[in-house]
Amino acid sequence: MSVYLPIEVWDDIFGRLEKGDLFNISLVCRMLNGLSLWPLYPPTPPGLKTLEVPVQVLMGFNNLDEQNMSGVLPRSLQKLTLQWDVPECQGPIILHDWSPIRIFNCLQRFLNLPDRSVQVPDLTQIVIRFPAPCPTGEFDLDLLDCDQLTEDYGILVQAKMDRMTGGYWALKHECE
Amino acid sequence: MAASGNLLTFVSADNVHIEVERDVAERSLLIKNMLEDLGEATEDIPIPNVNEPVLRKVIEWCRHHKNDPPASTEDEDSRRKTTDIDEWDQKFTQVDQEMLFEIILAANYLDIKGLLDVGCKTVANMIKGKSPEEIRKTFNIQNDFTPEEEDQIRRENEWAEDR
Repeated sequence: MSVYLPIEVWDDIFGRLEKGDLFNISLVCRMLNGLSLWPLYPPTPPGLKTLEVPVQVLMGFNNLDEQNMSGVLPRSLQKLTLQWDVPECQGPIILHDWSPIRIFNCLQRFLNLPDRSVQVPDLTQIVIRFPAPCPTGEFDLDLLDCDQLTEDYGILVQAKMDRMTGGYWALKHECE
Repeated sequence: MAASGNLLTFVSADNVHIEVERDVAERSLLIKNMLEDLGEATEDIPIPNVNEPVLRKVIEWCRHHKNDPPASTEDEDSRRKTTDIDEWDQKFTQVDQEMLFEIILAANYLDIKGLLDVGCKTVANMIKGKSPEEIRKTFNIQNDFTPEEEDQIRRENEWAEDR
């Protein structure tokens, strides 16, 4: 197949399917080495080793407890950084849903997946990157027991806080 | 060849000139908005992303549906949840998969919601009720895993299949 449909078109197609069909699609994805969530998305570079993305790109904005990112990650991945940087654009209800603890729990669930070591066998490091100051209020990173995850799953897990910008490009005053 | 009266001239990506009635062309929101901005189109209209066979199919669909009423917001919401396709559209979409994808791409580019809808429904119906193997076969998706790895994934996911 040499014709690729844009992601928004596939979203429209998948939106018409029942849970069972979507499950079968997730199995198809898991049996591939590529980065794509769905193999007929436009191709992405093979052999990707490090990836830093907003967590919502991998998990979506809603139903966090039902989603996992294992079907999206490339098999070649070694280091993953999850940015938690867009809660302020979601409004109060979603803001609550995207609490740092919630993200941490999602990560724990991902690490606990039975096929995670098959899906990303070379993954050795995961960083959750929070903006400082935390937009949902003061937050103690020590509440996230990253050391325990590191010990339990053999993958270095870290949570870091730094002055992330509101977008992908530095704000003017931060460049100066 | 330029536009005359009620006829417009599309120029496909492979440089073929195709005449089309204005009311048919205006099924495309992209073209409709462009014509509204320009007033009268006196020049050929290039459609650089769509080749001749696909453009002819798109025009065929637009001609058949030129009198369809515009969809309301409620229609929009409900249409996105269904996979029912009327008989004429079913026959229209009986093309090879590459052509089907090209038509969907063209509908997306030209902003023809009804045609995009039909295309998405058709692809959704190609997936519905199929096993992972059948889905792979349908879309010619090669499996990167060895049979052993595939078995392992299948076993590890068996628990979730009945949820």
